[in-house]
Amino acid sequence: MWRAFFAFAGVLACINSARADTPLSYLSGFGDKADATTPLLWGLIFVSCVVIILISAFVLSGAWLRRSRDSMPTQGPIAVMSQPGGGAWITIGVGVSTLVLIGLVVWNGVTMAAILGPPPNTQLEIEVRAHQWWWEFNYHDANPSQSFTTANELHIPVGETVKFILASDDVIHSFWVPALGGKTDVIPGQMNLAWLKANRPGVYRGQCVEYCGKQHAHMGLLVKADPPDEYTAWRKAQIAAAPSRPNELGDAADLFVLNCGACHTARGTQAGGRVGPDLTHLMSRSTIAAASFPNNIGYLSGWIANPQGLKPGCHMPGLDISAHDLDRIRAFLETLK
Amino acid sequence: MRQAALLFSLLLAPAALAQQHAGQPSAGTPRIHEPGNGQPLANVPISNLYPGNVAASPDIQNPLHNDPESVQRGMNNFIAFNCVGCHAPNGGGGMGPSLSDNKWIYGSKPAQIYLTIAQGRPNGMPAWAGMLPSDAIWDLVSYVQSIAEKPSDKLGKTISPTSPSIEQVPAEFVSSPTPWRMTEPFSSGRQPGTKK
Amino acid sequence: MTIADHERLMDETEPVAGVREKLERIWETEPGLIGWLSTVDHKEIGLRYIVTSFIFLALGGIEALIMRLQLAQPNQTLVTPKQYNELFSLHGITMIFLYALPVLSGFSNYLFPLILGARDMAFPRLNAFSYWTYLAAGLLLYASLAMGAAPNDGWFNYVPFALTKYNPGPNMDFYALGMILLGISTTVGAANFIVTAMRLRAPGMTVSKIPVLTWGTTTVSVGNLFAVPAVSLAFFLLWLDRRFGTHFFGAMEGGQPLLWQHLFWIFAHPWVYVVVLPAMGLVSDALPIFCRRPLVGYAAVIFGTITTMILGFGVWLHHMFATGLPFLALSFFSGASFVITIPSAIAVFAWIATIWTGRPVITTAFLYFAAFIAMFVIGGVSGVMTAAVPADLQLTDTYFIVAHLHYVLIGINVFAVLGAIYVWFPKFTGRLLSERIGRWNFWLVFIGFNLAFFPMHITGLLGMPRRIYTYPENFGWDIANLIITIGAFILASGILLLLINVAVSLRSGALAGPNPWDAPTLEWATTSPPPPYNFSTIPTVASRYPLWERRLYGEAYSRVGRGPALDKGKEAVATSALEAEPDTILKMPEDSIAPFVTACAMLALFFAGLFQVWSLAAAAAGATFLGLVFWLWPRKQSESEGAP
Repeated sequence: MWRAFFAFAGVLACINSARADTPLSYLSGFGDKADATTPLLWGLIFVSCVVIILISAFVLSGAWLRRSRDSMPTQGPIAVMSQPGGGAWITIGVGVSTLVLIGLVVWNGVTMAAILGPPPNTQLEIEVRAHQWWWEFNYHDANPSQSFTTANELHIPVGETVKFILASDDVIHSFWVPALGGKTDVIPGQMNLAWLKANRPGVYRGQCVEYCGKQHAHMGLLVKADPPDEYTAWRKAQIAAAPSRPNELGDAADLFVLNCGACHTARGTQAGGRVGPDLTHLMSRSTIAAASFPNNIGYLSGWIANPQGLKPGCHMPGLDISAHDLDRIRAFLETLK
Repeated sequence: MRQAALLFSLLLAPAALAQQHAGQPSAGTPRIHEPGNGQPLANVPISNLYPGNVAASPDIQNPLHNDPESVQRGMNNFIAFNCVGCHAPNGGGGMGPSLSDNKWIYGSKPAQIYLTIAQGRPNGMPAWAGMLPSDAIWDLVSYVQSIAEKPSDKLGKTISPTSPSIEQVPAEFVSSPTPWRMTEPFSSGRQPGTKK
Repeated sequence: MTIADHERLMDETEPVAGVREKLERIWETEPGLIGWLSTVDHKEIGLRYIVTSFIFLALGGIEALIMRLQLAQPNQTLVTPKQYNELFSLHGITMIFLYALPVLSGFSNYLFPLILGARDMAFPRLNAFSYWTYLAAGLLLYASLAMGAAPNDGWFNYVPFALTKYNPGPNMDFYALGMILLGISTTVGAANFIVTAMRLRAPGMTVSKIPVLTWGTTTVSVGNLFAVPAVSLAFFLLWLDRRFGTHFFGAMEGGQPLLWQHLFWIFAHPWVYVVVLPAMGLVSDALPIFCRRPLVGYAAVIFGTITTMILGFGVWLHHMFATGLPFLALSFFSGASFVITIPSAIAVFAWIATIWTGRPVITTAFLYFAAFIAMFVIGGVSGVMTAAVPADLQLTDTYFIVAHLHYVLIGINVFAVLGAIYVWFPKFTGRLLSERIGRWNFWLVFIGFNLAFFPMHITGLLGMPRRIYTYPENFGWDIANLIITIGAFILASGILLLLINVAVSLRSGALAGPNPWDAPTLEWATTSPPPPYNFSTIPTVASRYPLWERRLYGEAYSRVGRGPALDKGKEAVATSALEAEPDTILKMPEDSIAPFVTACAMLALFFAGLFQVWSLAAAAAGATFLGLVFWLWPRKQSESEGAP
């Protein structure tokens, strides 16, 4: 048990020092919500380890120190202890446990109050719509021309609290960005509220954690916390329609509209489908297919050619198009900066 | 290095596809997809009227008829691609013809429905062949076949609006691929015939 | 009770010659297949429960091993997502419903009359029916695998994913109807346990002398009577939603997806206690044997058992902390989830005190029980961690929860059951299990189990979500997952070794004799294996440990081996509920094939409903009714006044 504990503590220490290798770890926080939770989590881990070690020690030492020389199975009778006693173990043990528990309950209550609701005067509000198996993010604005939609990658300004309105059109999902805070389920028929605040710029990985079907494993998202000026620039770029195409692409845009437009939107073209992710600024994202693969020429081509091979069971069908057309669609997608 | 190898192998994928699709016409031409059993879809007549009493049509099955999820996907597509805009929820019919009865202008066989969706038809039905992959169209075929049924005898016999015997499809059943199973006596919960 | 009956119960003599042969003739089961299908002997039924549940344990284990192979390394493609989802769902359903409670029901069925000094369960035919229905439900659920349409939404079966829109195949109908069928089995079994514990105890066994196993099983049986209706209803509503167009759960049609979660967890959380409290009872009864002293804090342990069950009904919301609940609900259920650890702590300290104030004899069974205490604590403290809402919002739906629930279910259920097998196998078969293979068996299971499940805590803290069919590399989960897979195979080899031990010992194990452990309770007062009538004379009990009385109190107050023989037909004594005063002489029912026939007809009914063949359903419903009529038809029993 001791060795297990040391191994455990050692692993945890390594993890904490090398967060880049463990993008979904929540053992250290990078935002107000996670920062409030992490001490409680570590406290609970500590108390748990102490309890496990104590109890294991009691059992092991008791069995060893008090062991009998008799052997079983037996044909005849073996001695039986007739004197009562031992009740103190229960009184003291349960008493101490109860005290520890009361302490934990209080700590729990205080932490709970700190994380449950967003701080008042939260300005920025993002609507998250979960789909099988990708995320849609709607940045609403009082001025409709300033609203826009993006998918799977979310930008938030550093140091500002962001409120998330969670909605689902199909099954239950769960919205979780471990480094920034705990999860909230996304349930069809009800609007759930979550909030996050990043204190350091960086890319934080999120993941759907409520089982939602075949590709539950590949339903990630990225939260990019930008310094305020970068965020504003990003926002401005996202509001703009897709940039005009260079001439050498010819009718590649029409090819895209024809083959992809029934499901995907690219503002600035006639493609206006609402079934799949918005592709208006696809090239501003670093991943494709719900943060499952890097957004590079190889994976993008492979994804268009055979989505069922990369994400079996996903709702994007294989397209019956020639390699030449595929190449041109990809070339067009690469202009969606 | 590893990434480069990965990249290379993925780049090979389109190349392999290029080999496979070498003979196919290029962009813009509406494609008629072949459903796999080698029967040319082009031979499928677009009408139920045949000279003589021999059906000339090659009998082409829906390649997805064994997939229980096909109907559901078809229903989602039916809503997502705004088929409901003309054909109404559950294919009840509106600007476009009803799909939930058993009347077929351009044929009732899977291949005929497929061609109707793929090629489009006069008076407003758009051609979807260019926009949808064949599997998506076959899903729609599964769904359209699933909602098509002969109307119940009890329908169409009402003599006054106050005494219909059954309601065709209550509005809340919009998301069912088998709307005809959802008919129910009008009296359930509402009792329109009773005067209060 | 007539005067004559009273006189018979006052008999205090040793059994006269020939009475054993007479009782044997009265109680034995007919040979042949019909006899085998008709038997109502609680020992036979109990063993069937145990064997069947171990078959399901093996099936669920194989499913787990396939999953572990898939997850041994990142980005593997051994199984498709569809297959993986069916595997993990079926694994959960099998282990939780077809193994965990049935194996305990098996032990309780076998041991109840023996430790209570009775001749059979209160309702022997209902007992047989309960087993056959359980088997039918298991077959129904596994028919889905044969059809390639196994349930694929986990054992928790959340809507709307379980509705036809996302799950058009028959997968979920199998689960829904299988669970309703299993619910019937659980309910009648629970009623039987309660009445047996209340009314069939040996004269003199007042409530303060009842063995802890009986307390555990009776407590959870009462719990089941309240919990199972919720889930049966939920699955029935789900079936209506799926096949008859109702809208209880579909959000788009005005239903409420959270309604499912409430109905499910208000059953499923108590169920967790249902599958551990009897196991804790087994340990509380068996640990004193090896520690050579009475259990410390008997009353406190019983109090803890009952309190746990009651509180168990008030914590279900902690499975739903992330669903967006108001602060008040969260704090109440969070607090309740903390509090529920206190009664468990009572049991843990009672066991430790028993070890410390006793003289433990180290046997395989003792090793299992000692490990059980440690595993119980690991599962318990990780449970406390998830009771804290802020921590739970991070921990829930990660592998941390997988680790927690396996420490609870394997640690508290499987370890106790394996230890109990080593204790009571001699009673079941008359032969001892090999202690030598037993040590290997224990260490393989113990090391394999901890290797397989402890690293899951770490992958969970590193954010690995549950129910994913594969995972990318570079998330820090690779090494841990490889270790987990290796551990899983070591654990499986340990279980395999147990089966080998059973096979070897059945053939050539040492003969056990009536009491190989010098144990104190009544089942050890009769031969191994016990005769069909259990005891040739009805014992009278004066303490919790009748066979140790001379050593504990200097004199044997209980009367074992002498007393009324009750050999005028299938007879048993009914006693009063609290004080166990003799109340009446019961006429126990003969063997009957009606329970088997009725269960078969019900299985046909559920299959017909599954495929919506209404003509067959009507026929099967008729057959079920006829089976019940045949079952309950009054026999010619002039002196009949007892149980059915």
